[in-house]
Amino acid sequence: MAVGRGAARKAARGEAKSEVLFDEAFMAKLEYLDIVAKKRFVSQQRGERRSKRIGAGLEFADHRRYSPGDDFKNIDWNVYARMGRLLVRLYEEEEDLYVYLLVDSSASMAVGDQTKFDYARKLAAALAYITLSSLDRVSVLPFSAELGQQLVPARGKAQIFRVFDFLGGVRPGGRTSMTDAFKAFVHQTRRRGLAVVISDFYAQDGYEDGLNYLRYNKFEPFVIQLTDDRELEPSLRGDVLLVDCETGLQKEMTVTPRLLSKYRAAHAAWCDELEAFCKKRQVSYFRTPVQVPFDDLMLRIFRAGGFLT
Amino acid sequence: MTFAGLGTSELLTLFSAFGGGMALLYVLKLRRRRVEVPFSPLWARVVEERQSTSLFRRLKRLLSLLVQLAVIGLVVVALGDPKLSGAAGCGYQAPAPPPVRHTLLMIDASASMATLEQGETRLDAARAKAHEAIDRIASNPNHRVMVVQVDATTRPLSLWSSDAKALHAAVDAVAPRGALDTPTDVDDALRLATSALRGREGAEAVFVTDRAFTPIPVEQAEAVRLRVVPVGAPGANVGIAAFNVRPYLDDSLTYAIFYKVQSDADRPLKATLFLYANDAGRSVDDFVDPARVVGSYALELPPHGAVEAVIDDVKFSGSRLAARVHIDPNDPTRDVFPRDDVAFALVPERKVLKVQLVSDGDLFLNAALLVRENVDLVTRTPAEYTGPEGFDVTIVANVNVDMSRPGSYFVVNPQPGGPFEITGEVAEPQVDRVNAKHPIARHLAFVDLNIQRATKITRERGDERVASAGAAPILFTRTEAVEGGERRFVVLSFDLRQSLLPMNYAFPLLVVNVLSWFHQEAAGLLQPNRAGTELSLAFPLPGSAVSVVGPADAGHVDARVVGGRVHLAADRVGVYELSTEADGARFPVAINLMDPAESRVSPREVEYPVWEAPAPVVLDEDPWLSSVWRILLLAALALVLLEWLTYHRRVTV
Repeated sequence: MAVGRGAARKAARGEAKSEVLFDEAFMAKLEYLDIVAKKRFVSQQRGERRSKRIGAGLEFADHRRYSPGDDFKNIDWNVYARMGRLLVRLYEEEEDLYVYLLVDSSASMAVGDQTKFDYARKLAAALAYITLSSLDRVSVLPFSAELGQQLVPARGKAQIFRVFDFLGGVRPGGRTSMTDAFKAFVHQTRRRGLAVVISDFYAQDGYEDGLNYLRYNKFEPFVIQLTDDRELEPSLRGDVLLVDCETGLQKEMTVTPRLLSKYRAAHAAWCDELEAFCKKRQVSYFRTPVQVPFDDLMLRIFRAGGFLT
Repeated sequence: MTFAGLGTSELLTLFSAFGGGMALLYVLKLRRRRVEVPFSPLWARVVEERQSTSLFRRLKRLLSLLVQLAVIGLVVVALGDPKLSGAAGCGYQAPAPPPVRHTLLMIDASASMATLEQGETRLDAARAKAHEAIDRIASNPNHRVMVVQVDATTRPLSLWSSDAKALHAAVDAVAPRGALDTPTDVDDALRLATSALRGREGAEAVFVTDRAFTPIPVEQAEAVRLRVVPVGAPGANVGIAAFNVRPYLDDSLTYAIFYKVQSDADRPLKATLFLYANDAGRSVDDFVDPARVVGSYALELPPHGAVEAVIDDVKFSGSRLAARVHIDPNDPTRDVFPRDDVAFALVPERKVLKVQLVSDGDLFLNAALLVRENVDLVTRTPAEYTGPEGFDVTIVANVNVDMSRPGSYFVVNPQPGGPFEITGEVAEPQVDRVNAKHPIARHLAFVDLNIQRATKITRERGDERVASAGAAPILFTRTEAVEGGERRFVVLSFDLRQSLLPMNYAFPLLVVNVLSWFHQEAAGLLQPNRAGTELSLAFPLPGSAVSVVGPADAGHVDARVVGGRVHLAADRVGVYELSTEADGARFPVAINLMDPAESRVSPREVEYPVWEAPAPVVLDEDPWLSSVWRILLLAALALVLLEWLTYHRRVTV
């Protein structure tokens, strides 16, 4: 019950907050950045990225034997003059990219004053803007234990305000279950693409199954883990009753400096486990504390991490 | 194990109360602060190894509570003052508690305690004996003592206490500036003793004194179980027991000095009485100066006797007089008590008396009064008489006028119809009885009067007869209360013209004595103002805030004015000057010791039982058996320390 009341209070505060997440100057900087897709995806419309599909693009790809019905304009007459064989030119077709922003909206993201959830929303908005600037399609999907209402894939910079409105309306709450949420996401989404997971990865049932589910279904996971330094330096001393904000589980504990030190070590080990998991499976991974200024994050950390061109 | 302190049931009650309270506080303490965390599995991972089993955690919490309860248990048992059994295992019998006793330790600080003996005063010796008594008593923790200073007043200097240190301090506080110049009010001391000892177990009153006071009746002493610690040894002392100065009514420079000097020596002594005058003197040092000597008078003092006399025609100028008596320097006898060798007197203020003589023309009285320079005489006939108002004395001779109003009347040959019931006449009365102590009879002989006849007046209750012939009063006084005041009569019951009294040299003296009696100027010896007593004196100065300046050793003296009278009490002899802010004038008051009992410094036979110190109480000397409670408290302290350390090390919690 306490968790529910806390989430409601946080939601009320979120409504009162201005939903203008970025100013114009900041968005102008982001406009020149683009997402480097590490894989090609099939798309119904022509985009700025090469896809595996051979078609009506400008970039020559290959030749093949002429078959009846092929467009005569694609016959390579030079080859026929040299070799006497009818070959048809094939072109790589330019297609747009689908970017799915999976934003963790569980209760653990809303702990504290400067919440990870606000940070995640800003991050998602920025990524969406960059994606839209690159003429790709973006979809925003908040999740907790289940997949929430999603912003359908949109294209064009003008859609950014829809993204802002959508993110502004999302309220944090509930527990985290990446397995269930990502399973639902995979089943509901026909178009494969880049699945950017923005979360603190505080999931009771683990993150491994969820991320694997994305991989196995040909999505490209891109993991952004948000941490909060204040969670590592809690002002706790003495006998306390720890309550999990998502599950309500309680645990009596006597907090000592030594215990806090152990907690920090355990948190670091846990983060390292997530990073190792991602690297082992060639999943892009990035970790940032919310205390890092957002400008620095977008312009320097992401660039240093190879996320933006 | 036995308990010498609280009983077992009381200890159990205490343990239940405090133990229950502690358990309750412990439960309250375990209500932990609720803190919301985003991901509890991380915390669970941290404490997995430390708090692996809840059973161990509970045990640790229980251990902490048990430590607290053990501390309470140790303190509670310590309150019971337990005594352990002997090493041999036989039952340890705690010794019976020492008897409860209450001793009121009274220390005499009156004037006689200033007697010097072997280089120290009796008060010093009394203090030493009191300290010794306290040391003897101190071995019994159940022996409580209250220290009391006894002089003209009785002052408790401590509460009931068995704290030897506090009692010694109280003894040191007895008359810290030396013995006072006051007599010993044993009645007041006995009243306090009766009150303080009433209902107390093992009560006794111990009086450290030189016994220079009026003997206490045996039954009164036994009522408070009075025991005496005697101080003082026989010695010789001469002292002034009375001293006063009286001016003559008709001589402004001549005075009559009355003195009484007593000796406490075993043999006759020769002494000299010196008189000194000083208008500004307050203490004896201000007077004792060869230039201020008014006169010196040799005295022959009988053993244990007194000499009293009136020195007539002493001429001096000044308003303050001091007397000092010295044993002849050639006499080897030493005066051990110098405090009573001095006395002070103030010269009464002279005033002009307004006298009206109402008669048909009495030349004898007229002549006797006219020659007095301090008498303002008005003669009137009965028809001119309007009343006594405005006159100090009204003399009514051979006539009858209205004497119903308050006033002072000298009635010569009263007539029928007046305030006296006349039953007849006495022919040729012979004065056969004279009250020589009466002030009016001073220096009068009442012989050869040749009275032809006198009026026979019925005596009334309260009449003071001065001279009488058989049953008939010849000269008497009467004081009656009437509306608006009182009227005082001096009645001479015969006609002067029918006697030889006017021809007698005593006649003017009789007139002076009568006038003086009315104003109490020469009523023999005025009552002296004694040190240590509450004085109530007519105060002529305006204002109510009185400041008092006394001798140098007098210290602060409080005085207050109530209803035209000033009230004060001083415990040092000397002359005190009282003044108010409203008037620059000073009102002097002479304070003297003049107490024959205090001057009798040779101790009386001890009529009271001498105090015997109680047998010293031997407490259990075994520190282990008698001090288990200390060990228990140390153990409790050690546990608290251990708990504190472990709490901060997070071992028990």
